[in-house]
Amino acid sequence: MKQYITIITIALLTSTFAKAQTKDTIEVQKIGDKYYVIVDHPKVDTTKQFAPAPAPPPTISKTFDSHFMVVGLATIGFLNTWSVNKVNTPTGVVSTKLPTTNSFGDVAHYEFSPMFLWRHSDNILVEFEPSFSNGSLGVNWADITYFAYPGVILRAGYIVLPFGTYNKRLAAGWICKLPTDPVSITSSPVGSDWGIELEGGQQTGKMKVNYDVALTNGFTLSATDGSIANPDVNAVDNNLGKTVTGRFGWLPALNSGVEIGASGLWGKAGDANTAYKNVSTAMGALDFQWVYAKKPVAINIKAEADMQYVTNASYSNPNPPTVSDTTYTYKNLSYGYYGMFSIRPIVADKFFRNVEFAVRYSSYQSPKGSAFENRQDQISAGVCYWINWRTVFKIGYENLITTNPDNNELAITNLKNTQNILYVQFSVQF
Amino acid sequence: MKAIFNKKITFVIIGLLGMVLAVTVSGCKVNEAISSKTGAQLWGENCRRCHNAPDPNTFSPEQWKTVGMHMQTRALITNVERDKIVAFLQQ
Ligand code: HEC
Repeated sequence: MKQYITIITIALLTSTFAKAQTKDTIEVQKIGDKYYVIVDHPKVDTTKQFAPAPAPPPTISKTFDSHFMVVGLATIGFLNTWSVNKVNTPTGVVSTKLPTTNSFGDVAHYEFSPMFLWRHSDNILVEFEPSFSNGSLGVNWADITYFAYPGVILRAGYIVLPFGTYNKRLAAGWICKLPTDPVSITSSPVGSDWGIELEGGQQTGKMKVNYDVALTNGFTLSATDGSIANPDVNAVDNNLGKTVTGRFGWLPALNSGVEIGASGLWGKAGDANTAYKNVSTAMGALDFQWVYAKKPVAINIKAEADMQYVTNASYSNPNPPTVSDTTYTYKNLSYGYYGMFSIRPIVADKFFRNVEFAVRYSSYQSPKGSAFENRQDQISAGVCYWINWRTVFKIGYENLITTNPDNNELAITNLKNTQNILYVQFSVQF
Repeated sequence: MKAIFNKKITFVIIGLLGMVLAVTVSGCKVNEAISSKTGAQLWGENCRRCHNAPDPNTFSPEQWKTVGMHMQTRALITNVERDKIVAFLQQ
């Protein structure tokens, strides 16, 4: 019932937003005889926009420089953490204050990722993004993209799964307006995988739609506890079943300010030739965004709800309550969501024009009754100072509560950890 | 498994109905086609959906062409939109 109310509320909100969006909300200002887009770039001269037809793109030159680009992102930071553990015992709550820590480097969030872009021809683009973060060198993506027809793009390689919008569109430090990612995203197993992808966008009448479908190796199932994980970039697929992931996006408003997306994912997860060979996974996500800019404010709302389901199986209990009862099972369903709101004044003042305030709530529930059951509740608030469109200095505060309940069958005792974290972060796109 | 799928199907149907409702409401008032927009307008609208709109001075005309292809794979804009935006950024 609760989810129907949510869906209906989202639909009603969307229609209201969509209606409001039928007017142009990107304001253009005339000073003297020149026009300026007032958000982000008050000084950009847009007189050109009134030229009757765009100039044809220059023909490709054959030099190396004109084909090859190194861009990328870098994020560094500092954090200070205050943390408390609480355990419910028969005699009352036992609370333990953990030592306060602080650290330059902000281990969980620093990132140095150069990205290599090679425009092979008018129809082919190669992109490769290695990444140094969390103490290791990894790969975010490595793929070849072929622009087959208008509205049809084909891609093959190590790709970001088209599930929801956060991973593929919003995760970069210079894009995300808060120092951390939402727990609903960081706890989800969805990431990058080897496979092929088909995507594109179309204008249909007065609105736009887009699609993005991928066929990949798929997740691996842990035979120990039933958790699923994205395979390592070096891994050979664990079964013959491939995983299908797809997202359909819809932009109902003329100015592209609203986008609603629905994603689904289906595939085998269990290792071939084991008792878990038929265990499969089904996931779904709904996402929403509203981007608005008209004097005196620019507003950004982004939200995504995700769920992951794995078919039932039995796992062996490491602490069996009786000698005969050595296995356990549980409903392997996880879910989470986040909602982010940010606001930036559109004013003449040079300082305030670059300030943006953001708040976000996210929660994640891992499967009840599992060995890794917990619930995370994350409240984040922050201020960004935009040095330019792709360089940002952020100060953020976060309250993260992780609750593990008692599980008698698995002999797990409850624990509630509360963290309050102060972040200072600097992020650039280069 | 079955119960979950039935529930999910209802969920999806309600979602789709919601979308149809929103399309009808938003479709009534629109009178300007996206394709008639200028490159600058499309840049202002599409290139700040995920991040701030990029400053046209950031890259060279050849580089903007590469970025245009790259961003088309993220923003899923149409070829017409991409070409107009790239032409605007190259000027
Ligand atoms: C759907 C979200 C989205 C939209 C819309 C979008 N971008 Fe991006 N943009 C990204 C992401 C994500 C990155 C970071 C790199 C990556 O993930 O590939 C990025 C990076 C960039 C970069 C850095 C260089 C590069 O190619 O990575 C430039 C320049 C850029 N975008 C320009 C644009 C322009 C111009 C538009 C309008 C056509 C646009 N963006 C629209 C998501 C988006």
